[in-house]
Amino acid sequence: MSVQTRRAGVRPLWDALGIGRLFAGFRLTWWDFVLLAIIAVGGVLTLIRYATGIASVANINNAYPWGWWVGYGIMTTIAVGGVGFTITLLVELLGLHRFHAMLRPAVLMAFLAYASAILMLMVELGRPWMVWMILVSWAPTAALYEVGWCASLYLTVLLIEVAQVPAEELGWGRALRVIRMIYIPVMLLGVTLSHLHQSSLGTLLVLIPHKINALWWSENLPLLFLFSAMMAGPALAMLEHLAAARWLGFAPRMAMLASLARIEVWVVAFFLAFQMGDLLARGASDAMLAWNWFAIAFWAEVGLGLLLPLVLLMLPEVRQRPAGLATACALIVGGVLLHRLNVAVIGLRVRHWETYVPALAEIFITLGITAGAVFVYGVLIRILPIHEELRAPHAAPRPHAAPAGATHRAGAATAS
Amino acid sequence: MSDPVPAKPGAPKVKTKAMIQDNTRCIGCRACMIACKSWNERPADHTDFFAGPGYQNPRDLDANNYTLITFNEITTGARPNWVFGRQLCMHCEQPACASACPTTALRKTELGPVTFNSNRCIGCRACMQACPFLIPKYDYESRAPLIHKCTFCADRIEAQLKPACATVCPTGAISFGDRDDMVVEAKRRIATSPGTYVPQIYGLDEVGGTSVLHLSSVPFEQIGYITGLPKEPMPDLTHRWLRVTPHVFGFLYAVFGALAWIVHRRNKNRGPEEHHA
Amino acid sequence: MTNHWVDMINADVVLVMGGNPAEDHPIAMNWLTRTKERGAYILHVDPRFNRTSSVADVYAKLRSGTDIAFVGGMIKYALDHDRIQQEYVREYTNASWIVGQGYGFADGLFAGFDQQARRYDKTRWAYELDEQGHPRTDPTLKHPHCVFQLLKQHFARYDVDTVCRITGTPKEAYVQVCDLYTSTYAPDRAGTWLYAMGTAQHSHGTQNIRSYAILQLLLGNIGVAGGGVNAMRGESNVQGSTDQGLNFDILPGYLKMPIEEDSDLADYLKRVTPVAANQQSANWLQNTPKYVVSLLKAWWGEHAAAPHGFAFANLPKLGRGFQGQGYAFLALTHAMFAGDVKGMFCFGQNPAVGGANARLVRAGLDKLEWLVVADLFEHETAGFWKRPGVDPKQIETEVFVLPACSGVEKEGSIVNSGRWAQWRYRAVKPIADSRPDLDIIDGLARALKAAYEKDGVFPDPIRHLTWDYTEPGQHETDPHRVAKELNGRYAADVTGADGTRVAAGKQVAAFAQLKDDGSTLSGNWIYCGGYTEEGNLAARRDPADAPNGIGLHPRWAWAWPMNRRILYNRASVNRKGEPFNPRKWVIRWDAQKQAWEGDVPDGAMPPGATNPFIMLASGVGALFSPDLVDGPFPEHYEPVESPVKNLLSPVQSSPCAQVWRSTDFDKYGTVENFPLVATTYRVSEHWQTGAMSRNMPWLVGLVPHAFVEIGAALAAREGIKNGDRVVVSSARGSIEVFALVTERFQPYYVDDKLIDEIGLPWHWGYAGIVPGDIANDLTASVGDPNSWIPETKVFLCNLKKKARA
Repeated sequence: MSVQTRRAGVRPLWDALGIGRLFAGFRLTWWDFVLLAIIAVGGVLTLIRYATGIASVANINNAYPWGWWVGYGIMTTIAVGGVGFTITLLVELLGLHRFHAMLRPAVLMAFLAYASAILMLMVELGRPWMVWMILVSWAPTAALYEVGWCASLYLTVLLIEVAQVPAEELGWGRALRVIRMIYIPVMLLGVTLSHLHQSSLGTLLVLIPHKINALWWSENLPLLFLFSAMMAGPALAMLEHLAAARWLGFAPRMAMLASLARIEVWVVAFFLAFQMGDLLARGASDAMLAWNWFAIAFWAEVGLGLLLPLVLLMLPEVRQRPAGLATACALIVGGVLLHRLNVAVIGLRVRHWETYVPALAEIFITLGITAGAVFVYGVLIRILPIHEELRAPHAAPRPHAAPAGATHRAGAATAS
Repeated sequence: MSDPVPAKPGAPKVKTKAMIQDNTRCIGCRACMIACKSWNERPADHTDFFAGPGYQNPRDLDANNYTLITFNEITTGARPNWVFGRQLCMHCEQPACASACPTTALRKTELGPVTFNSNRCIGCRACMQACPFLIPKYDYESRAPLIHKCTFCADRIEAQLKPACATVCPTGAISFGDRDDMVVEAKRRIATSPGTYVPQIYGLDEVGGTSVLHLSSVPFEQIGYITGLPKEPMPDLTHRWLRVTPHVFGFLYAVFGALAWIVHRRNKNRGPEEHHA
Repeated sequence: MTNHWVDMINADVVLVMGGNPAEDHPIAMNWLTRTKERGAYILHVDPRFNRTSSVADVYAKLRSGTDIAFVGGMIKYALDHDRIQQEYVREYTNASWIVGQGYGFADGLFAGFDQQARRYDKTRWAYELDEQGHPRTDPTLKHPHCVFQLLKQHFARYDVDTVCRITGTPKEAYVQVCDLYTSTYAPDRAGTWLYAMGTAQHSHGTQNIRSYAILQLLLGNIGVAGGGVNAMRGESNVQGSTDQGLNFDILPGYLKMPIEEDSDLADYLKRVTPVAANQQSANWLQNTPKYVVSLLKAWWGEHAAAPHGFAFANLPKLGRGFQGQGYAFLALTHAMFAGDVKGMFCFGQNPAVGGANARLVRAGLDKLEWLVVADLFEHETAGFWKRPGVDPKQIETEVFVLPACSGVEKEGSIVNSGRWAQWRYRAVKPIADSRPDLDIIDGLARALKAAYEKDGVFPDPIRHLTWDYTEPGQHETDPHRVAKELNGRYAADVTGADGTRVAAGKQVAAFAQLKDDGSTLSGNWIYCGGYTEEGNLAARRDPADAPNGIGLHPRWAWAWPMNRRILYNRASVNRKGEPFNPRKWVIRWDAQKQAWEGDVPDGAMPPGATNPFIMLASGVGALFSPDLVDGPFPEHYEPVESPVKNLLSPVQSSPCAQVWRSTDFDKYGTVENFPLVATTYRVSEHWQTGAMSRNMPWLVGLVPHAFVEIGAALAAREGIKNGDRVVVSSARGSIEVFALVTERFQPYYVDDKLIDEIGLPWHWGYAGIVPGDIANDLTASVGDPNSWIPETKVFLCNLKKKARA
């Protein structure tokens, strides 16, 4: 979009907010158009969903009330949204400054992930216009109540954190001062809330032990979900860095990534140990070796999502190369998706005539929303200083843990 | 926890109601299914043949059928047998559905029914996931879908009537009354006719006790009932986690606050640059 | 029923045979449930394990059409094990009566059979008479020609092994049934026998029922609480229908129709009024003239006067019927097809689907000049002219459809199987222009009367007919007026024997007060006593039980006759009026008060020599009955279409059965082409031909499409899976339905041959929400020789999986 927008009414507002200059030199690429196309398809299908009911676009049924939309759209999207709190935890609470360049992207990704989770929710709920009812109810026994409240608050937190960047760029002085004043308590709130609702996604499924296959149900599902979010976060952060480097044209900081990868190895190993230990303690080891679809799904999740990336990450030659690292991180994120789908959908014990395979329309609606998030992200990282690497070289990153509110100038699109 | 509505002080204690479903008296006539559809104004089903060993239709409970008679042919050698099971909401004493509902649209009431308030529902379907008996059903075809399940004829019960099914059952397979009395009666039947009944009252202890007590002439798993359910109420499992939420919140916030303070101090000590707090 | 529904709770053993009350009389199952709770056994004998079997204690399978073999074996079992209630049999049955030397039985035939006419000369079965013309008796029951000994001889061939070879019943189950049921011979135990269409709709249906009566009499189960021979009537008010004489051969109150040979009233009365067999017989029907005259008076009022035989000439007289076969349904359908019937009024019936040999029925409808259908829905008969495969332009019948309203939209009484007339009020107004049948008939009658005022071939019967069923100035009929007339009133001032005067117009209190001199009128003598000066007794709803606590509920509605709830209850006491079972006494004589207490006694006379079966000329229960056309004892014959030879005698099927052969539709199959036995039945969810229930979407949702139930073994052999489409065919037609494969239908070993039986619910036709092929297309025009009821419960057929297109 060019700043030479001629429409009379828009222009003054545009300029008044100073947004126009952000878009100087901005061009939509072929990838943007691909995303827009996917968004359009998803949008049309979403309209159909509202006009004619869930059954016209989705295969979820009475035996499988939660399907792709919950398994991917809510549970996985929020899990990968954990990139926000995990990187924040590493940088702001454990003082690992070397990762601070990943902080802004992480928080922005988290914000967009939660925003898209909310959109997925609006599609998933049977009566989305009533969603405000959660906020005026008192249902402390319902895990979904807790998730709803926490996620809404967290989204607000993320919004505040994310708002720093445009506030800086556009000189919204007063807003910036407020944000910076409340930053630490808000950031702490965000990390705490994340722990609560990431685990509560698991609590949602704790009360159906007889409905979920023994391979996945556990009393400790809340912890499993929390830890898998902690595992997904760094993986996504690394993946994003590599992808952005390739797309925006800067050199990926392999040393930083390698360092995070080493930490990730421990997280993955811990998760694997925890999951296996929990499974063995529950006496479900027989199920692992059964010859059925459940076991196959389980080994896909563990093998491809944990074991393989663990091995990959442990190999320096893999860890230090973008392709290898990206593969390993993608596998981890994929594994988390599969884990969530297994617990909430695939692992459901149903009667032999009950089946569920997501409809293409179901999948495309979620793809549309994800594509929307990716598109917005792609635009924002090109018009706002989200990636430090895009700044001029003299403005080197500070050694201390600069909050995301560190001063930046909208620099050239490429490092000079 | 969805506790029953507390009684007003001084008011006589309302007795919670329950139902006995005795399949040794059930002749599978399905008057109960029709009476239920009539009272709840559900539309007719479009079926082609039968969905079970016998005349079963439809196959499962759904948005248009709040109760279902299952036909089970159980042949032992040359001796045939036909046993009729019944599916309906169990109106648990401590319902998983109500505890999972984020807007308290489902509630266990004093008189016994677990009622559904359609004005509060957001359609999250957590109740469908939560229910151990697979009861709540959804009308996905609708633009404004709702949860559908047996209401225990809560409106009839309040008017001192019996539920529609209990009213029309010709053989007395369905009994209705105060839960205490129904439990006594169920035990009496088993005690006085031991050869007739399997010595189990399904719903007495399952998931903390329910308001529908089933009696059967054959083991319940042979007629499609969900067995192996724990005696503890399902909500206890989530309660264990959720009730510590405030404590966890406070604890974590304090811990993270301490960490942040440490890091902040390290930053301060390390560099002369302003820390943009 | 001789007893009634609530009385089931008094039974110690319930035997259900030829009936499926769980599905076809589900409300009655309430009482069977209660009796089971009290420790009674329920025995179910049926070709198929159905919903009644599921709550029975013992299920014994039985090949359709072999009921007499089954029960004959039970009779022999009772006789062999001396399980008979001695005093009862000796005193209250004709066991001791001596049969004349003209009687005999050999090679499957009774004495007196005319091969040409296919008819018996019943005079050959007459009793041996003494000087006064009364039957001789031997109270010791030893005389070789006394009924008891003849009974023993007749059923000597029905041993357990032979019976099980014929019926295909597993021996263990059979003996269990015999043992349990005959245990009710003890005076303090009672067995009730429930049956329905599965018993009656056979070429020997009447004899089926006779076999039940014989066994019940031997066990002393008639007239007692928890006993009886209890027909579960096939429709909700068919009892009321037959009570009011809707069958062609009876007048209201089961009086016999006059025949052509009855030249006048005196002639007729002489023919139809029974003469007591001896002095101990009360022979209540000796009062027939009073009832006939009162009926004539009710119908023709002042035009029915003594000098003219009370307008007896106005009554139609029965001829020989179509081809000499009477006027019952099978004769009617053949007459229609032959073009002998100009027009038909069809009220609340759907013969295009419900009639035996239904293709013949529909072909007969094609020949009518006009048809008037009164029903709730436009069913297959009303729409016969546009049925599949027919060109409406080729059919010249003028069809009128009059919308009738349902039972809840009109006031009146419905009489249940237990003879309880329960008055019902109108719950809702009829929708649209639908009307009560009474209004429709009233309109017709008035129009006819007006037409006959002008001219007509024989106008008197219509012109002079009393017709005052509406309040003056009103259009809607008043059922109370009809009910009051049925009860009857005094046509003139009358002075009773004790000097009391009753004014004209007052309701008669009891049929004992009806007269043959024209001073009383009564539309139906058995209903006399139900709508008296006290009011409409059928509308009473007092649930209190009588002091004897056996579920009589004497003030709940009103039962005919005279609110007597258990018929023949004088057989429940000995000659001194003491109940055989004091714990469940029905009536008993209070010597102090010199009166009976309990149920209304079957005859108010004090206990003593008078025999209890007061409605029979003999006064005693008939073990031997010389009145039926096909034999004084039941004898097992195979159904007309049967897969096996009769193992009991050389006579294959009932020698007197009415077997039609006059049209192309009257074809019969053999086991070579049609190796399977078929039967028909109903399901709870549908009603009769589905004219109502297949227009109810909820019911259609439960049981949508026509199906045939076949055994798993047969299905496996034919490669048929549950839900496949199959073609079922008989010599008369073929239909296509879904196959329901089940373990509940198991094959029979009949004389070491494996016979399969299949079953067809007959609820479907081409009208309604869900059409389906008509099961009665397969059944035959075969009738019972006494009742003419079609043998729709057993025929031969074949079955093939439908080839996929």
